[in-house]
Amino acid sequence: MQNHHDKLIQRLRELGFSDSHIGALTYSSERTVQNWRRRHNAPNPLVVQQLARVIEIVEDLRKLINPVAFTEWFFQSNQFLGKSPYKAIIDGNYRRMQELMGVLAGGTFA
Amino acid sequence: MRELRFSPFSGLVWRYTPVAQTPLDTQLSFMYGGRFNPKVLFGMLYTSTSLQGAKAEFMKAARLTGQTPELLLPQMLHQIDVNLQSVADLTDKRNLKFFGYALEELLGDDWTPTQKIGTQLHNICDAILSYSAADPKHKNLNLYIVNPAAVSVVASTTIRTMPDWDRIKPAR
Repeated sequence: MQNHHDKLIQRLRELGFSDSHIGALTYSSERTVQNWRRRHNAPNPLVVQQLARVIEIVEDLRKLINPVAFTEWFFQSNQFLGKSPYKAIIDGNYRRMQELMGVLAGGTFA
Repeated sequence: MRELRFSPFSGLVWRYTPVAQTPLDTQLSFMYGGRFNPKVLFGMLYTSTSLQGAKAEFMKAARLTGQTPELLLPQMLHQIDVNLQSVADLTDKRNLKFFGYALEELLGDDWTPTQKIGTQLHNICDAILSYSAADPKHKNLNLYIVNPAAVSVVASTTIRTMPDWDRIKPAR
């Protein structure tokens, strides 16, 4: 049976993230992520929380960005964030990410 | 707030939204925050006082978020009739001086100064009139109040391609 973290990691991989990306987004190494996937060990609760948070943000962004362009957009720096959304998550710039979503959603003007 | 000047505002304003979004919905700005409202404290309705201003905002949103404008289409463009009693005009230098900010600070990508002003004016007036950060030739009306007596949608048009922006005519 799949653990909660297995499902989260699987979902991130379905969303196009490599083990290396998942590692960076959870402040872990690629090898550590591989060990989680092979069930050699399990991520701690804080990492599981971060995995869930990343998925929530990515799923929200995917509703706002044309799916064809999403992956390229996600890893590319943009002026609003001053970095890529990928890097902004790693750096913990959640407030600015939220504001970006507001602009993308048409709820606010930039 | 006694030194601040408030004035009425009546007229047509413009706002674009994704197709599925209700034109007067402030839920997204409430949830995510905007230039004049910190997230989750209160929502605001962001509008432009001109069609060209709304287009400039749309173009800036695309540019800042690293997308081509076409990727953000389709959108709905709404013409909204507003009739407000009390608007804080931040294009008036005397009002700007009250808050102690230079105009440039209100136009930057850091929303901290504008969110502070927005919070101070919340529950004090109906809306804030400001220069557009996308193009300061234009002005935005950022509304706190969204009730049917003061705000009503008079026309909505789908923008499917960029040339559609130039085919829009004011409803009145």
